Amino acid sequence: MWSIVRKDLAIERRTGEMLSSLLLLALLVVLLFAFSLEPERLRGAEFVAGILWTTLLLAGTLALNRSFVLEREAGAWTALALCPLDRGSIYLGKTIANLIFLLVAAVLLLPLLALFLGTTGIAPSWLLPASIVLGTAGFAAVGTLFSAMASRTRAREVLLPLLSFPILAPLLIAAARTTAAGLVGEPLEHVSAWLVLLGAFDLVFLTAGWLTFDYVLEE
Amino acid sequence: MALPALTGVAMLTAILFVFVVVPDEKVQGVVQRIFYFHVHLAWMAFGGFVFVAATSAWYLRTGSRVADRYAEANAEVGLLFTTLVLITGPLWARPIWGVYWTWDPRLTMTVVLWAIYAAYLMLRRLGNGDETILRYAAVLGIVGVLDIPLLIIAVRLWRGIHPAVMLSDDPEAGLRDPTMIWGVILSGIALGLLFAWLVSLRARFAAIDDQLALRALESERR
Amino acid sequence: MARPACDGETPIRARALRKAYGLLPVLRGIDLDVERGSFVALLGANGAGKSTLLRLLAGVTRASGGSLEILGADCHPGRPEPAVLARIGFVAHEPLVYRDLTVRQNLAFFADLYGVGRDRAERAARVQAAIDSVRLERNAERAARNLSRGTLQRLALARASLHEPEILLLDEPFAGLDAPGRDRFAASLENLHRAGTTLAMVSHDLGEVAALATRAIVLRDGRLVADFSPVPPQGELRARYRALVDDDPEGSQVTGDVVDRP
Repeated sequence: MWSIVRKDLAIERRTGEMLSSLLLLALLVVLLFAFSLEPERLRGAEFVAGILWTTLLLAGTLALNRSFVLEREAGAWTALALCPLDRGSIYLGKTIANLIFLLVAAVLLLPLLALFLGTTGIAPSWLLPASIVLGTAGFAAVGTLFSAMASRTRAREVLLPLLSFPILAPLLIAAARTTAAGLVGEPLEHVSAWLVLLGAFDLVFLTAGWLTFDYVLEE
Repeated sequence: MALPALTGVAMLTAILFVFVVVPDEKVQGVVQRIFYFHVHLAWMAFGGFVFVAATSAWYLRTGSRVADRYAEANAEVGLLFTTLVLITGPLWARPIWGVYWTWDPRLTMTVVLWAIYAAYLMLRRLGNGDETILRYAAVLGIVGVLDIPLLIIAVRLWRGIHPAVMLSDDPEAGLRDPTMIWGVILSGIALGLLFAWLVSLRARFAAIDDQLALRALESERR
Repeated sequence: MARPACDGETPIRARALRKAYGLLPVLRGIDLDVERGSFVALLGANGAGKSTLLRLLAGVTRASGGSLEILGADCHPGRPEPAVLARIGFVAHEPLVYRDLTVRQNLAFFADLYGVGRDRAERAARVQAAIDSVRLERNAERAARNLSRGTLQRLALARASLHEPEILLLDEPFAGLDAPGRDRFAASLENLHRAGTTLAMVSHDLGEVAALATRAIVLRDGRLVADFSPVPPQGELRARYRALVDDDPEGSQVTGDVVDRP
């Protein structure tokens, strides 16, 4: 499992494709928000959180497509299927690698957003990192599973968002709420139900991906 | 052939009851009658999606073509019923709530479910019968159902004003008349039969399609 | 293992093995025993089911019916146990490596997955040995993306033999190689064969088959139609293969269509 993570990070170190495209795309989506809506009205923690997660989902989906195109190229996918390891570990390895990319993107994006939107009254609490880790983990769990499936079809660029966005709806709602609460340092009681929901989402989809990946990897 | 005949009779009886026999509900008036269909349509559709997951799991275990056909049939009819829910809902909401659409939890959930199963059918279409894609669709059929409870909780926490028509505090409102109860039961039976009939029809259609494809393959070989 | 006799002398045993992709039947009942240490060539026209058979043996795809034993373990239904997969190597038409990693990074990654060597030092040594065995020393630090077809194919062989598999499966390994590339690749295969590896190779190249293989089987339309053991010299093999594959409906249909239809 960890060798797969190391391998993906090694590829990223050589090419830098995943992170650079993810970040550039995210930046552009933020600009689109600013242009299409009145930027002066987008102040406040809810906007920062909402735009952060929308941006992450949009840019992240496009970047996650790369994750398995990489495996399909030159048939590396088949080589993985040949290896004497449990296919759930291949899924977890890919998910962790993707989670790392998404986390890096989120951590870089957040201060940028706060800066662009000139939000005042930010008093981050530990809820902020918690919401980001739990949110990106669920996104990586679903995105990795579907990116493996979409990479096989001819319409993969369209298919991945089509498959993942509706499934991610509960995650998006919960992540945006908890991140907003974390930004202004709201007490835990206000969002504890949301946090539990995020955790449950991660658990359900990591398990589902781990159990079903056998059928996805098979030719 | 008993199923279509039975469905027809049940449907006619239900329509007769709902539009002729049953009296108007006290508070909402005539538009409330849409609920005799709306509520059942929603439950049938959700039941269909649970069937999609069950038959998908069966397909992954055994590779049975029958299981796969039933998964597709349930998803298609489920999507059709969900579409009808999304049409009948706003028709009722306009006179009662004053708007066609509102981000009420059940509405939101229904529209997200609609998107999940539209994507499911889209994946199948793109696969064009490729066995690998059918397996992917089965995985999605299972994952989709896992999302439902999370979705329910999320939209509930998010907001909530859906009407509890049957459990109103007003003693005069709700299903006061015994014929109203019969209306609910009869329309439930009719829509249940309709669902079952459409699914079996769709599955049989898929089986014929398979046979045709097989024959085309064989003649190509010769 | 359940049947030590099979594991010992017959590492591959298929009975009435069938495979269909969706509705399309590709293998229609294959009976095949492969003895330890033999070098079997799989011949046949395109679409005869050679590659599918090879992929079934490699465990990348599942059979639809019949039975398949590899190294004494039942491999149908379901996929082979990791312990069995660890003793099989597979060279496909594609190199099955990561284009963005160097030769050494690729081999180190797969060495890791196969659990080659007991510690880091030993693993690195085995990777180096694999690089040396296919003469990739000069290209070890280059990205796979920049390698020629011949060099990539040698990398693929190094990847597939890194964990010293008992069975090595090859899908048209000579396709796209130039003459010196073929000679070098053939020499590497002969080394593995001499070392006792059981080899099964899909090929269109009857010259290489006659030179290397100890046995050749011919597939047509998903069935086994001929079994040459030992393999006759190239000229005779070619004549007998033509006789079998010429009455192949696909071959005759093409000319028939062109001449007869108005």
